[in-house]
Amino acid sequence: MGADDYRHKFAEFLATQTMGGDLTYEQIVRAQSREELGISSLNMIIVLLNYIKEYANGTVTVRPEWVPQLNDVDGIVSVLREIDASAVVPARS
Amino acid sequence: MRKEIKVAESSIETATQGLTAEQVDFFKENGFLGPFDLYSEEEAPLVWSQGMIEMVTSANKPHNSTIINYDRHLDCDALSKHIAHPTIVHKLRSLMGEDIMCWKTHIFEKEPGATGTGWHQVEAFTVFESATVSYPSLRYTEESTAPTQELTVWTAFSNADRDHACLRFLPGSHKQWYYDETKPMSYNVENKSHDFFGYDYAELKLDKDWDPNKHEIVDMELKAGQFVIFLAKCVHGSRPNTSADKRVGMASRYVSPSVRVYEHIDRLSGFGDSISLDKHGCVMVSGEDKYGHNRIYEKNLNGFTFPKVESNGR
Repeated sequence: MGADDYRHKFAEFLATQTMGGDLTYEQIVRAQSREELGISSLNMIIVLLNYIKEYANGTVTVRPEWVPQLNDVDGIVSVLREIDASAVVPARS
Repeated sequence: MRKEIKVAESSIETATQGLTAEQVDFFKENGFLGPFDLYSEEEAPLVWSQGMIEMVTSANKPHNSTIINYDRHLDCDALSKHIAHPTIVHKLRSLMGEDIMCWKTHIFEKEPGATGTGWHQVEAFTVFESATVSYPSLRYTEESTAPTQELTVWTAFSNADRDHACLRFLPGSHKQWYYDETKPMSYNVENKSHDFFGYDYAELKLDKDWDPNKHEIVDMELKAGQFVIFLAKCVHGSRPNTSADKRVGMASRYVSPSVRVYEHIDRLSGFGDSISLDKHGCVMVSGEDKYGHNRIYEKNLNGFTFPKVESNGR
């Protein structure tokens, strides 16, 4: 999957999360920063943990070096790709 | 008026050393001392990030507030280790003696564009139960031969220079009271003069004509991973964050175990929220508690054993 595909995957996933609030799919796809999404840094870690549960069956541990990357959407997408790449179970498409 | 501090060069020592006599004298005279190296600039944000992950994943939190960010050393292993770091503890011993208890931590984040924190001066950390009823967080029960019984260590987890809201001190101001911390303050987050977390600390000035900005001021610039030690009674504040980056710091506060902590207080309020102190406890980072005044935790709320620096460097 390319970066754009991952951005769409993130948007689809975030839309299922309570932290996503009233954000529309289009708003999420267009957003550049976590701040634009209105999600706190701690809540974004929760989103990441939920993503790991959903797509990596909980087999990936959140790494501290990922946390600063969660401030912008490109960074978030990059972390999601790393999670999928390091998941022990095949990532769900 | 600003003064450049020349203590930094002599203070960057190996991890397990205490303070030199010169440094202790500087502290006694000025009420603060630093900067000291703790983590590398690369390591500091990772320690902080690990702490953030643990804040989220913690099964047993000290309180449920996401606004009041006190005491997360009680449940986050990275911060449990931090408060008892030998580099910190050895330096505290030079000022407080062998028996040292961490009673509180407080995370200080400043977003880009955030205003500076106003000048303030505390020692008992008075808590108001109502507009007229207040209690000290700390009650000092005995005299000590050590230079102090109370210290704060403020560690920068991101750069905290002049553009990034560094701490500021009025050197020597710990020698007298400029403010009355036992008096109540008005709360108004919209008012610019209320630059102490929504309060106007200037309302507590003993001499209304005294202007702290006409006093000698030291800007304590810290790189990520450095810390400064100070007396909360030394008048201090911070510069605004004029940078595009968030500034992150954590204050860990230490007293002698002879001090009674939160003796008559079971809740803390602030920032529009309130927390219970039911799970509060203190942590001995060095020496022994010979008094039994306070609940002491040997493990954090998730079972991690707090490190402790043994006597004589063991």
